[in-house]
Amino acid sequence: MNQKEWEECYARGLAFFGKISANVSHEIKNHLAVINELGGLMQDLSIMAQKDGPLDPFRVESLAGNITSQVAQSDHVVKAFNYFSHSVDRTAASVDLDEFAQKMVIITRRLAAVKGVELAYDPEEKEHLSMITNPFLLEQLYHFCLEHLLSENKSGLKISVRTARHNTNGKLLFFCSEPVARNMPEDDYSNLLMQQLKTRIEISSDRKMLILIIEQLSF
Amino acid sequence: MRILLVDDELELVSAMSERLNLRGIDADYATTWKQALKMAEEKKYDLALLDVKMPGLSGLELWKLLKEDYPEMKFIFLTGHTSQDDFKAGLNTGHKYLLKPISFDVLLECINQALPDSPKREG
Repeated sequence: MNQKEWEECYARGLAFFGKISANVSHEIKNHLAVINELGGLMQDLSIMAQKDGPLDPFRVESLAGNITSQVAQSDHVVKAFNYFSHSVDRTAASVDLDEFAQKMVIITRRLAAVKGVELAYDPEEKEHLSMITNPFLLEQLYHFCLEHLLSENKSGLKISVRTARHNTNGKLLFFCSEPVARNMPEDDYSNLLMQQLKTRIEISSDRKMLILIIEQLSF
Repeated sequence: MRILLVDDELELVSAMSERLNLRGIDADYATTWKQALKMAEEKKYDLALLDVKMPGLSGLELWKLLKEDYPEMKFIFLTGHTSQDDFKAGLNTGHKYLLKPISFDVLLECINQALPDSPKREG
């Protein structure tokens, strides 16, 4: 990479990190808001019971269960965000592609949901695939692919992300419920990322699948 | 007084509506903008509490539709976002703008300010 490319990479990478961080903080705030209301409702019911009679134990159990579920969901988001945050630690690292896909889906699900799109991780490979790559650049490429599919503005669309082996390399597959995949627009930065990571994108003939093929980086 | 809560977080709006109902305020909820428009057609609401960021139409877009059809309706916005742009967009509507997680007392105060003469039923 030359100096200009490094500068571009730094600026775009920072903007990407900011976007994901803002999205995650929004999602955590949503969970906190739900926990806040459920806790408040339990308090209201308890105050009422002190005046008017016994508290329904099943109602309390249900509300407490909902709070536990909200905490578990936020914990998933925080863990995935921590994984994402540490991806900038090294420019080359061994990446478990399945874990990568799972975590990225968790932290980008809200970006899709806002556009009415359901995004899911769909584990298929029994054997985990690890590869040496630049995790932060790969995350940006994943995001490029996702944004590209979301730019079709197809509310009701379902996208499931899977991984697959491709000889010694790996594949990230975006399966869409409708034919929305088309060639990526020409963009200098995504071209730079693909060149650095030795990746390429293929579109299935029915336009329902976008495939990111990732080569092992060798040093 | 009758209030419509609109947020795609079902757990949030169902708990909020139950809490408002316990306080004598008739509150219904919708989790999509389409459902909200349909409910507003079927019942007269004095106030709508709208989440800014929702799938499909945003709360601000929904506000434009509702205020056109129901000019008497009052509004309060709810958001998890704290970005300057969102904050300004919310303030530009001229209505109250609450950040999640909200204080229920603050929400009740905002409702009472927006609807000072609206009677509550026995809670």
